[in-house]
Amino acid sequence: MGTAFVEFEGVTFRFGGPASVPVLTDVSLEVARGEFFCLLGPSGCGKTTLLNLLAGFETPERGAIRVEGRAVTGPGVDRSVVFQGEDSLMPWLTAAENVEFGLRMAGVPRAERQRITGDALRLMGLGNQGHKYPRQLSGGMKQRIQIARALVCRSQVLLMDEPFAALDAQMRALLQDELVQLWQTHRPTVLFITHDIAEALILADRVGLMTAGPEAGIREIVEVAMVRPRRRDDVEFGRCYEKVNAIVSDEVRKTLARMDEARP
Amino acid sequence: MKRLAVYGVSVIAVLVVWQVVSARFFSPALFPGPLAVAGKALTLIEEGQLQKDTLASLGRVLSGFALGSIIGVAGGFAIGSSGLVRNFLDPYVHFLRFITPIAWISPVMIWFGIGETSKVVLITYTTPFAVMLSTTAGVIGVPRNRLRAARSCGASSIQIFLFVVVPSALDQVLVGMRLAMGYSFMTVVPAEMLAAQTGLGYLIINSRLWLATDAIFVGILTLGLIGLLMDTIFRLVTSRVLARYTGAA
Repeated sequence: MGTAFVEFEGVTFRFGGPASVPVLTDVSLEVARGEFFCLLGPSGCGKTTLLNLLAGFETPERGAIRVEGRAVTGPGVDRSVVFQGEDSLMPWLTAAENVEFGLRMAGVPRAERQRITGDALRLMGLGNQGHKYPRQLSGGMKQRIQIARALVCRSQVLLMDEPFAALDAQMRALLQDELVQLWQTHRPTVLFITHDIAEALILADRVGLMTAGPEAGIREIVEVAMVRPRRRDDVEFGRCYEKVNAIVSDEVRKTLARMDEARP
Repeated sequence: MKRLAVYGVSVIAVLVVWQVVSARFFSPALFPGPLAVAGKALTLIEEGQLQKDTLASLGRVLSGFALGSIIGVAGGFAIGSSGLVRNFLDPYVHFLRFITPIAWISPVMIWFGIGETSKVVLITYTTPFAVMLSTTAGVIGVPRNRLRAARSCGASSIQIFLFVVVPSALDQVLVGMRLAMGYSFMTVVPAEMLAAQTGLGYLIINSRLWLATDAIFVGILTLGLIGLLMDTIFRLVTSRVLARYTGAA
């Protein structure tokens, strides 16, 4: 790993006024350039909030977030986001038009836009689907469009918020493989949110395990040293899974206990 | 084709029932049957009266509808996009939309006279509310992730408004306009109570004085038919021209 490319330094964030309980408390995290980092944790622990902070959609109450040493002050093309659902796509635009959206906004000439978009669509296996509208495509194809849209922006950081969560198991596995290949070729820095332990272990260089919310933080970072492509039936994969599962289960139990305490 | 056949059967059934009921239970002067109404319509067409009245009403409705839609769309986008504008305008929108245009006939006549302007103003008044409410709902309902994706792609605020918010809300704008077109047609009769010399509203109101119920029915049916025709044209044109925004593409 190189030096920190993405940095969270003592980040605290809360929705609502100062009287509300913080979602995240004093989170510090460093991700290296070109690293594939997965954030894993129980539902509602603040994984997506952490990603939204890095995307610039939210502003931390305390602490700093930096990309390549520059403070994040809002959304930017250096950080592309791939969302879980399909509602981030423009349904009135074709697949190709969705992919080239950022280029069009930046005033890139049409011919160049079409060339870049065509390359990205081919890379994502959508070479002959560019003329179709999102509603004419499967869930997996829609997620590929989102990834292609992020790729054409040539973002240094790819932020992925449970992008495969709504897909069936076969499609999810296929896209995980494709994403790994893509990452190995282009080496963007990836922050990938998931609640699926196996998915995190298939994809990540390191997995950040979050504590149960509220006032969540990073409990532990697990290095995944297995060579790619990784196999779920590998002994080392199983060992790693058990280790991560023990921590995540512990945090889930804490979440349930807090819910019980809060019940009248 | 099957749908058209059902429409045809439905229309014929209603006409038959209407003819039987009017012939058996009412005097033709009080409730004329479809044959008597058709006969009166032919007379009015031969005299050129029905065409003149229809064109006059249609002109007023389309003028008021167009002006009201512009106000409604602009207001809806402003209210939907800005909390400040919403808080500023909302009380007036929700206050005015409950006041029937009939209540405004006298003030409008005093302010704008008895010419065309007052009639168009009255129809214009009725139109914006449905368009505004629907447009506002469309703007507020733009998925947050779509806006965020556009911002991440480097779109500016104005680009997001033009290339994300407006197309996202277009479907709702069109729904509001279709509803508003109905209200515009409903207002043309009271609008033509304002010292009009032409128009279907004038035909209906003037025929009342002579107890010409057959002419009243001609006016009512013509209003409904041109309303249906305008709505069909509106749907066909918007679904063709704006196909990609309405999901028809």
